[in-house]
Amino acid sequence: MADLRPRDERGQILLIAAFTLAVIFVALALVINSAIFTENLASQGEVAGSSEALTYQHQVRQGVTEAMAYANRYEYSNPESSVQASVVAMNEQGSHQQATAGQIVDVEFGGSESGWRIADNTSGGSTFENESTPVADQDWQLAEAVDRTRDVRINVTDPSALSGGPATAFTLEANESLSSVWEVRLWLDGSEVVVDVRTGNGRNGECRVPATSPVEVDVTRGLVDGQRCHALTRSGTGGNRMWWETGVSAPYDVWVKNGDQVRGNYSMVIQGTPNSDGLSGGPAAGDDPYRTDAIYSTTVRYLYRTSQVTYETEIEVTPGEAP
Amino acid sequence: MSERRSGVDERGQGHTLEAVAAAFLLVASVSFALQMTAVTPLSASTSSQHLENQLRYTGAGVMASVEERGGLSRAIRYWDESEARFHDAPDGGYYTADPPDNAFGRALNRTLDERNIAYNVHLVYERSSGDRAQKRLLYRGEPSDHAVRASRTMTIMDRDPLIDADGTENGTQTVSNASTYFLPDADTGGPVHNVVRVEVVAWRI
Repeated sequence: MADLRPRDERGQILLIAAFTLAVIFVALALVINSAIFTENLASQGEVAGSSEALTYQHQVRQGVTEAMAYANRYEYSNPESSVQASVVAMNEQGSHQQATAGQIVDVEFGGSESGWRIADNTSGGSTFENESTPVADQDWQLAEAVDRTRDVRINVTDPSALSGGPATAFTLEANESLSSVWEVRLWLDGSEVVVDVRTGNGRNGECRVPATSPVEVDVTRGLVDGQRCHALTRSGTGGNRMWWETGVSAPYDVWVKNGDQVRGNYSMVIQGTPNSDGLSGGPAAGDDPYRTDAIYSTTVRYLYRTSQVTYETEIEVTPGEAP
Repeated sequence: MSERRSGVDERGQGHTLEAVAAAFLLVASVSFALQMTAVTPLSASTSSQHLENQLRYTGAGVMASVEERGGLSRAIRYWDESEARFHDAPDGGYYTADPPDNAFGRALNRTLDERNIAYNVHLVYERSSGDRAQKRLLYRGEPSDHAVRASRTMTIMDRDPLIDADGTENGTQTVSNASTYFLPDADTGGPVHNVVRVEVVAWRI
């Protein structure tokens, strides 16, 4: 027995060493895994799925925007029921889509505010004059006592027709009084179209785009040819607000000046009184600009629910309204 | 003698067993330890969650920025009516090598292709019967285990025009009157044509 003991002890040491090693490895694995798990939790920067609720809310807004544009453009005889039908269809199909991702979504039409759409969409473009007078009127009032305006878009189909320098350039005005006027002017300077903005509180700014046709000016969104135009959003220095009706208080009048200096199409949606002489009462063939009933804004109730998040809100959609 | 010999034999067996057990423990520990450390950016595990989150947000960001300018809806309507497939898509009807030549395709190319990220784009929509259907817009193969998905839902209206190859709106053909357009009218009689979920599935290669 005496000569066996050392050998037995060596075996025990080996076993104990191996066992200790195993325990150390397991402990290390635990430490590293808990570190990984902590990091994993830390990488989720929000309550699980709450950003999804906001993302889908944005998509609902986008869908209602499409529905309103469609109703105002094609189903203007009864735009509200068109928007309502769209919201029902969007809700039905959209909720099926989201259900597969484990989200319950419900969108419900909650009402709308009416307004007027003013447009001239003569194909190929035309001048922005008032054609109802015996001699086409180049300076005329589109609408008066306007409280809100959205989605003001000018599509210049032929930039070379932007004749006239700064002094006689085509101008779109939001006019509260003689001294309080917001205006955007367009003219051609060499191979560039100048978009020049003057606000009611005396700020000026301009941006320039190449005079390739067509030039699309989205006045209330501040985009020219899809690119941000600083003159329509803020001035280059100081970052002061420049957008539609800055420095002008509602109600104001909307005017076109030097409407003979431009060729193209335009449209806008207003809450106010459109000029019933200059604007015919529906899309007409020919050159006439027209006015139709329109939806100014739509309210939808939005409910989003997952196992972790319940979110409910009312969304007011006014596409293309300046902030 | 016989007792002593058998005792020696038993000790030898004991040592051999101990050695085998120790070797087994060591190898098992080492392989376990190796398994712990073999977490690379490419392996699907909880530790690559950061990368997956980044990828998901990148995909969502691409779609958000394209959608802001209407490019996502246009990409769905970028349809060649005469060929009954997306413009310049190969015979399969969907893109494989290059993304479509429109705002969405260029944004995907700039953001994902240039960073060696593979991706598929699916369009999920509803048939008039109420079933869900899926169409490939771009397919680069079977995604790996750690692929992530970002999606965005677009509403297509009845009179939305098809988009020509040069990116302009077609003057005559709309999603409703084009005969070969893949997207059915799921809201017959109503103004909505269909609600399409655009899904980008992305994974690192």
